[in-house]
Amino acid sequence: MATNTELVRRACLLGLLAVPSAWSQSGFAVLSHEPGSWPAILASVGFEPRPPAEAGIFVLRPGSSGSPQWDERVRQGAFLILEGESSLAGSFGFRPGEERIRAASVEEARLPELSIVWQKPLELPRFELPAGARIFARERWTGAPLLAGFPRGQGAVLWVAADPGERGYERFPYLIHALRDLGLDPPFRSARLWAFFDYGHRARVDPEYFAPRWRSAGIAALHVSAWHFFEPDPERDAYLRQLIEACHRHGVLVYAWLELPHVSEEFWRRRPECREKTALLQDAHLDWRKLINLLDRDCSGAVQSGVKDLIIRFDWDGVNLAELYFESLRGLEAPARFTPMNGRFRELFRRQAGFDPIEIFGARRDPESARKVLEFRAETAARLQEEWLAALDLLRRAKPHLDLVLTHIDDRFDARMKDALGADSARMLPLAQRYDFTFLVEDPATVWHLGPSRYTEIARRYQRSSSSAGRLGIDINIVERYQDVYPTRQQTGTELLQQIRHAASAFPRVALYFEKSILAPDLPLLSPAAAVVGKAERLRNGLLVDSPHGVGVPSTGPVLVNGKPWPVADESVVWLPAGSHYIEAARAWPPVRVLDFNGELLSAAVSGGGAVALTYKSSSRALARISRKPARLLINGMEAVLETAGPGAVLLPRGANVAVIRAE
Amino acid sequence: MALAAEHFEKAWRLKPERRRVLVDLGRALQALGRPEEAMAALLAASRGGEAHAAEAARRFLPARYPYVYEFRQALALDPGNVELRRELAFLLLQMDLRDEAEAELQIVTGTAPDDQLGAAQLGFLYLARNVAAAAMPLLDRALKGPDAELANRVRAVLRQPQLAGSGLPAQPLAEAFEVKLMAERSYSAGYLKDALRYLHAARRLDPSDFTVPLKLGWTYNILRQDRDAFEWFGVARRSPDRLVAQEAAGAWRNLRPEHAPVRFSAWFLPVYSSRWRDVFSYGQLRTEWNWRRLPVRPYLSENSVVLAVGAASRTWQGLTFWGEAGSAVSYLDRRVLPDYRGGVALWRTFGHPIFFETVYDGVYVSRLGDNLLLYAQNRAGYNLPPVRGLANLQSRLYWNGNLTVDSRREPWANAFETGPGFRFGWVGPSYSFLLSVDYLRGRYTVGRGNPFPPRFSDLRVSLWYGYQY
Repeated sequence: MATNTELVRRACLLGLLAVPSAWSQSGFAVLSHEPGSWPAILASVGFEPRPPAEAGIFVLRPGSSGSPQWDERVRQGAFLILEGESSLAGSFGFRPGEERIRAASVEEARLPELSIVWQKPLELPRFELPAGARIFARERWTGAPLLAGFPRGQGAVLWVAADPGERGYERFPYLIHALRDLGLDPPFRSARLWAFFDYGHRARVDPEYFAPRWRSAGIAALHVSAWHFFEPDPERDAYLRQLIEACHRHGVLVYAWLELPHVSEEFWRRRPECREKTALLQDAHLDWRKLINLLDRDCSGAVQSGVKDLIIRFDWDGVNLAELYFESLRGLEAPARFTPMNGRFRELFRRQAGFDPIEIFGARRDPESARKVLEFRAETAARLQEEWLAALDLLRRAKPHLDLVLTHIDDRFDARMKDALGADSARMLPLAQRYDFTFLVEDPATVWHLGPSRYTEIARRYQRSSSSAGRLGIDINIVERYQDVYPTRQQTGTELLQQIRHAASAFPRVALYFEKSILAPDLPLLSPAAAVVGKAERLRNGLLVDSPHGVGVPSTGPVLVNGKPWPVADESVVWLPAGSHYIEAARAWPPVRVLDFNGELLSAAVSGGGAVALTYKSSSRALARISRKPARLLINGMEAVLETAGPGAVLLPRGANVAVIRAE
Repeated sequence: MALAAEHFEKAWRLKPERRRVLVDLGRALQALGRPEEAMAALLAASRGGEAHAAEAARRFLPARYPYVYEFRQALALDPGNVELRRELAFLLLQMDLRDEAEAELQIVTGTAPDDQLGAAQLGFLYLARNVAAAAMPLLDRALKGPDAELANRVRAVLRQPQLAGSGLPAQPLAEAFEVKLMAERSYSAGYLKDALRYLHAARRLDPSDFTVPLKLGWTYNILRQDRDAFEWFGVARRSPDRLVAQEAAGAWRNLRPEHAPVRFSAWFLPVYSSRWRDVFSYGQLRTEWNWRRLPVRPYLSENSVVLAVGAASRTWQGLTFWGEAGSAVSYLDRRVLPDYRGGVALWRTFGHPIFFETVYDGVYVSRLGDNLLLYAQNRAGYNLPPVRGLANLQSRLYWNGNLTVDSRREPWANAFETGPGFRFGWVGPSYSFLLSVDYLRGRYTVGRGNPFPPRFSDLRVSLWYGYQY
């Protein structure tokens, strides 16, 4: 069996003297028999394990021996990650001193105020660093460096004081970020993420500033809290229109996010008779939501009328019907939070079961009675959801481009949700084809503390029972968790990147709640984390890439895809359709390019006379940003009205189509 | 704010596992200007439970380490906080308040039977007091617990082999550190036998730590087991740490004359006597192999070389017995004569700077007609302070009173003499250089057949140079 030292020596002999290309940097090799969590860390943004001769990133764990070849290799472009104490780390100037420190809390230079706490403290030597090394993280109380590095030549060295932990994020959330700061660029991009936008938290943001940032972070659609705009208000309405226009101009779709049975503050105030009741018969004002009794015909009619007006009044691309069931996560345990208990619900139940459902909190505490109430409640929630899906589907007559999304708490991985909330996905999934909606599974708060790999299991349970697996999505809540979780209360850094990666690998669509809670350092890495690639291989002078949903490949020049000039590329990324494609350098840019496309690209071609042809499908409108001013649009061979959002963004119809866009 | 503090405390009492509420309580109390209560809440939050809350509490705690009374106030607020109580116990141990520490650890092990660390520590304390019956059940808890590192630490103290538990490698260095800590606590508290046990365990766990043999040396030295002390100082003087090596080497040199397995010594004593109008030179070269106190030594004597094998007792209360058997080779006429000698020597000094010194030598010499001589030298005087400017020059003024008798009543060997003297010189760890000047008035006590006048005066100037290694 070869020792670590032998492995390192072999790596030096085999491939380290070869000049790396950008592609070789996308492969990593952990030169140790115990790779630890390094593969999970590096894979979170798409780096793949490679043999040492093909790798551009090398992880050398404690005890690795020094060699002058490493310095030369780094100068030629290798990225070297050194863990802990070793003669190699010492040769680069990272040497342990005599003082020992207790490390339990980390101060990250990019976010000093962020509380990063290790569940289990470590005793470590205080290391000396080479002159000029940049310190990325320190121990909070002693200031001892824990993560540092420096660029050298075309490569860089990153040193980390200790094992990153079993999952890769327990101690140093921003390892990938540090590598990026040192010049290491992840290999792929995705532009398919969804994100929620809560106007209550973002009332004053400048849409023109944020829209391009959202798009470059890979966000394809923004789901905007629509209840803030339920009642017309000139100032607010103007802001929302500005937001939608800015998003469209920069290639971001905008969905109306509804949180029924919460309607709006104003509706709650104006229609007290419509307020939902808890099992204590109090008005159901639970947390921030003020719930309305949608079983009452008058109240429901008023809400439906208001929603219709809301959808028609703004240029939405879709509607997200979210969390339309009852409260609360504590179920029968908490009558003060248990809904519904409005008069209509009680009457309907009494007619069917012969007793008042509220009695289960009083005279009827037997399990059978409770079961009857809970089943009836789940049926009621499903009936409400279907009624509302049908109502929204009707709106497609006026706005045929509207996409529909049903955000539904997971009740398959965490089966307690059905009784707690009345949420029953088994009743809703069969409706996906009838109403053509995306079923967005909400990650329940009860399992937020579990690791990122839970998404694979959640997806498996839904795919098994859904005939439209292609319309499944997962909603990741990026918020402070109430559980005792480490190292950060809220997902950030490697943990978040791994979550996105697992979710994107398991589900066709990933939504993030919410865009404001995503910490600034994470924003540039969302797109690489969401980019799923089945296979990527360097062949001759090009790259063969196989991806399930399409992917962006960083490239600064023109390219040929499958031997033909490729028109879907901006100055830094080439966007490929799903499937296997061969990409190689070309001599010149096509006369017209699609700089950004928000839809599922099936194929693209340069068409004669300054035109570009796109074959795509999209559950809502699709947006294409063109490098030159568009002049004409053909859809499936027919002349179509050229709808634009700003100078270069063309709105394309919903569905599967062939669009030819001709530039002036 | 007072209402907030009240409700934070109530909320925390309802959900004591929510340690963040304790932090909030501490902050509210700080804002209310109740620093001691705030300290208690924050200190309680900073130990045990959620690491997030502990770190948050640290932001509001002073940089200094808490006092014992603050620990006690925090425990009054949060009596079930095992980590806090255990840390108080460790603090008390550091302060040598062993009984109080034991009491806290008893509460820890009573309220939290799963707390392996508390059980192990209490077990160690019982073990140190030789209460093995009480210690072993506690140490068993640690041995059977899930903490493989702690279990190995216990094994180290119990001199059991280390095990790699739960797939985790044993960490002898960490254990050595802990055991060494225990040794230092025992040493500081005066429990020297416990200290020795811990130090030997630490030495086994981490042979590269030379402070452990140094400490072993001092501990044996205090216990008056200088033979062991000498061996451990010898180990420690090879330390790569200069300070450790220096300290150990100094102690080793001091003990070497008594305990080195091979010892070389030489002395040279030229004496001028006006009475005999001659210079007498005595000298000895000696190599000793310290084989269970059986030295073997050749040396120079009188006008002959004596090659001998001898034995000497170890000096006890200034008393030494010795005996030799060998051959004397005259370096004047090269005659070889059998030579057997034996004797007893007593050397005692009392007082400083005013001193009284007495030296008695009883010698049997076969070569001088099987004669038995007794020479008693007594000196009383004053040791002058050393002169630092002259490399600690030492000097003394004294009065002599000497008596010589023998079994054959030889006139030259029976006399009494008295008079003043002065001695000065330098004495180091392995050498001595002394010059003595004595003026003595004497009288022979055997008149028959005595060719000398009955009274005599004698000015003696002698130089002593000794070296040993």
